[in-house]
Amino acid sequence: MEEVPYLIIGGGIAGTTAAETLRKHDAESRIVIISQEPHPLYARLELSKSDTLLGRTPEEKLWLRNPEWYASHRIELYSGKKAVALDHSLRQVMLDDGTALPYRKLLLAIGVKPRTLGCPGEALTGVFSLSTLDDFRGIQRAIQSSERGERAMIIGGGFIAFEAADACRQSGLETTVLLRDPHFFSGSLKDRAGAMVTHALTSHGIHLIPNEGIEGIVGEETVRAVLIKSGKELPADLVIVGIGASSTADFVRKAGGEVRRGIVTDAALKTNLPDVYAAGDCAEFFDETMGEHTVLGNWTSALLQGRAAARAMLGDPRVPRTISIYTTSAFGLALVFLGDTALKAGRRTLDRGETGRENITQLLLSGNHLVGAVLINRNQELPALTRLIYDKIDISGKEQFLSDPSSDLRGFFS
Amino acid sequence: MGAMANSPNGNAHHGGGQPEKRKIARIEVDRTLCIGSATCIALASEAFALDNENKAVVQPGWKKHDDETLWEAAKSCPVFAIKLFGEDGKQIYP
Repeated sequence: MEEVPYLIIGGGIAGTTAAETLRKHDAESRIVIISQEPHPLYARLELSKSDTLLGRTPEEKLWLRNPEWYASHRIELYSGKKAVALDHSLRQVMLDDGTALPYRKLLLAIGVKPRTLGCPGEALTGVFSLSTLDDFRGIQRAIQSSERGERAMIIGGGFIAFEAADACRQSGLETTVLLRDPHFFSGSLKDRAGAMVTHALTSHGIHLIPNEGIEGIVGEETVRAVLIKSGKELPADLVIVGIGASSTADFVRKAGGEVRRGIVTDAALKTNLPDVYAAGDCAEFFDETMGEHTVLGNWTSALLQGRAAARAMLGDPRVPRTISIYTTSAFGLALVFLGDTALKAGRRTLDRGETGRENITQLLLSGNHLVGAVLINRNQELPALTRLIYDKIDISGKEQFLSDPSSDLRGFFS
Repeated sequence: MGAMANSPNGNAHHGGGQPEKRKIARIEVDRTLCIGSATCIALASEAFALDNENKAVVQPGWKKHDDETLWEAAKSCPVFAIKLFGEDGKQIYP
């Protein structure tokens, strides 16, 4: 087959934005997207929202591109196909149907797959993960056919679990969340902010079981209960597993690509393989602002990386610097995750929150700089915090000021 | 005619066609649609902020961005919540 000038593996927001950006700057060359899911681009980030799961937002609103869009932009979408091997010396990608696709420039925007529990019973009817449109449809059907008072068991403590619990509760299901950790978002939140999230869920009627593991899922064909490590069998009619994501880049590693948590790239999203780039959830890129490699699994970052990778593929030497942002809202909380919010060695936190009030901003510091923040019901601070992170403002000696919830963070810039 | 001149199917964001070049005179966010993806803020930080329910709101400083940036922010909204209006007052996107 003829060499494809721009081959993109992955038809999600990173891959599609890359294709669109390439077309904007190169009107002639062939652009091919290989997509595993049999759909044009849709709004994956909406799949876990209560409005969508409960049908208040009709499914047709999820579509972000239709076949005419691909045709008019001359972007060739081959869906329902999966890349299984890469040979960078031959410069070609092998698909699961046996096709070999030679490329000039390759973008890997292959996303991630939901992590599984690895326990008995995961394949029972009524047990779901929530990553694809087909997963979504399954959960939506299960919720719609459930009767009030039936039991939903949510396993996990991240975004999917948080939003799925909200949808299940709103649908009238008795909703329990099983957490491995002491509280939600434990990779980002320390005790005070974590306790605020716990309180919000429990005061909205969610049963929260922290510090617990899963032994297995029980049922004949359909789920009946979840067996937890402490020995109890908790009845469940619907189970949603949202315990994070894992890499699908084994074929990249086998081809000599550097893969750690994700496919390792430089700041321009270039991998260690010639003319091979990576973007979106699958990429572990060098973040210029943080000065280290990181994986950002959120919609906006994937969109921005798709655009940036396309520009790099076109030879644009400018490396964009952006600050990650994503939000979620449920149980009376409006959360914003800004910058790099991962609690890890060498970082410390500062809390800005009013005692007795349902708001807190947990700042994450590295050395003399702010690297991230989680804002809970304090999102008016977003612009100032973004600037503190982006401009790498030295905050040494200002810790008391930062900790005072009534201090105006704009004071740093005046 | 008018707002739909360049999007004959009335569905410019789904279908084909080149990006609009018309000048933006006003921006609105439909907060019933907004899900707080914050993509608009990442692309045009002077134009958008979040209200206390994580819904995007247009900021007075939106004119600090050029039209291309604002078009990109609007077109990147995953729920088509950002409406752009031309100088004749007619909606030009979506």
